[in-house]
Amino acid sequence: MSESQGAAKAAAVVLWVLVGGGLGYGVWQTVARASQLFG
Amino acid sequence: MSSQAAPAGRGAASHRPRGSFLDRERTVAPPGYSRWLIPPAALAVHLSIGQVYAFSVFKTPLQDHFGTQGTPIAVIFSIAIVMLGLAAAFGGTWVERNGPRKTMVASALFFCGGLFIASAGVAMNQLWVVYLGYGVVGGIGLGLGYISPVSTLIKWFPDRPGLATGLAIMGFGGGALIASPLTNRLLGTYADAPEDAIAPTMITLASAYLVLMLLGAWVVRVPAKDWRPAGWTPPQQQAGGMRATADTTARNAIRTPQFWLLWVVLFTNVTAGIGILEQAAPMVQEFFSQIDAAAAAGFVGVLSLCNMAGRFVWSSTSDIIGRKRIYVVYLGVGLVAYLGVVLLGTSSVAVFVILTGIILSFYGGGFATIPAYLKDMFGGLQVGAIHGRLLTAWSAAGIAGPLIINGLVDARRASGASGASLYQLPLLVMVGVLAVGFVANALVKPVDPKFQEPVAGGSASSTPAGQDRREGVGNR
Repeated sequence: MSESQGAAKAAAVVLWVLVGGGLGYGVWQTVARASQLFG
Repeated sequence: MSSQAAPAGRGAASHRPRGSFLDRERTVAPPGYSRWLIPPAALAVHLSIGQVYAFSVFKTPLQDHFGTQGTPIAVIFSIAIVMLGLAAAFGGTWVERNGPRKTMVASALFFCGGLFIASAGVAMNQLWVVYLGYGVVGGIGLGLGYISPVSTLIKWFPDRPGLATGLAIMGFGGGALIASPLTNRLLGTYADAPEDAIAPTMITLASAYLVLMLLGAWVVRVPAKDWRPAGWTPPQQQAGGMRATADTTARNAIRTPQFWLLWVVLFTNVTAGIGILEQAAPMVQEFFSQIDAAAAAGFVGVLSLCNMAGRFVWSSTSDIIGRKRIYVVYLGVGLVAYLGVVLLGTSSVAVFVILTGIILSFYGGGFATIPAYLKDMFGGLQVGAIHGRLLTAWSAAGIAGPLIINGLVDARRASGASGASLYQLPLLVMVGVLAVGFVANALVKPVDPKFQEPVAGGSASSTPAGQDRREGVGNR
């Protein structure tokens, strides 16, 4: 595996963490807002 | 150049493909490259451009900043959505020809450039610059970004195209969930008054999205020409089956009745979903007088979650039960759910939320499943370009849905109606709209072979399909 391919794979893993974390943040914020509907 | 055939998958290790880093030839994955490294690249783009669904957060600050009413500010969003449809429709073939990396970079430059231009417009107090930046330039980025990863994902996941496109398009729904609280926080951080914090907020968002989208462009890869998932063989076509055994070009696809039936299917599904989305907050307050503004905002949050979840769950389900059947569910059960809102919506908040949540999950599912439906009908050759052309249905529904709902609600209000009765007629009209989509879906049949490309070693079609192929995509 070339160095650039390895870096791309590492970047893909970082992206999984970023998009997963971002989605988690968004869902958490939205659930907090949505809870006001039944509060 | 990018339009010429590349020695995909062969000799890649012995010499470096010529061309720019952005060209398709330079994105061909080496043997053993995991396909699960591709979805985060697609999600990076869709989560970023999904910011457009959170544009409403800027609405009041922009009104205060420019000292104007809601309509001139709403025009910014409308321009962006119209440009999304146009860019997807007219840029689809370019996207297929140039591959996902160049398209993602173009999308990043247009979308983030549009935000930068819009921030300059705010700083200069020139609303037309905001129209140009966020609406026109940013809207082009939206269109290119929306379709950029779709055909790539379908090629990586030929065994589960619904799951693949559901993952990416879920990101577009999820983008608003991130952008909305983030934008609110930034507006509260940069200045005491939100209207004074718009420009730095836009610059911050644009910078973050630029990094994320370019990272996605770097990571994305296309599979080698004859790559297949390990242990997977293409399913044999059964008599009367819906899956195409040959490809159809974008130019030929729009000559088929199937394309226009699917256009109607998407148009009706989106129109019905927008009917709820557009009026969500005031509608729940009209149905239940005890619901205040904060609870209504919570209801909008519930719908956003259902919209996002439906994109992944229903689209993945379509891999199991089939595309035509899942649209029977979207449109048929959606129709019943709409009727349920009319007949039972006032019985309790929980019933109302469940029914509207189901409708919004079908709205998201319809968006996410349509690329896989197109792949079934027209093959994978130019599915991105065909998808781009079909997204004009979204633009049309984005105009029709709010017009129908707002027009009918206003008419009902003028005639003295109030409360839940304001929405009875508009909701019944949406039942009719979904019925039209249901019939259109029922009429979808396999594509006539005369529109298809010749299959290697098989019979050639009788139409100038080969000519279209030369004019379209020659490099896969």
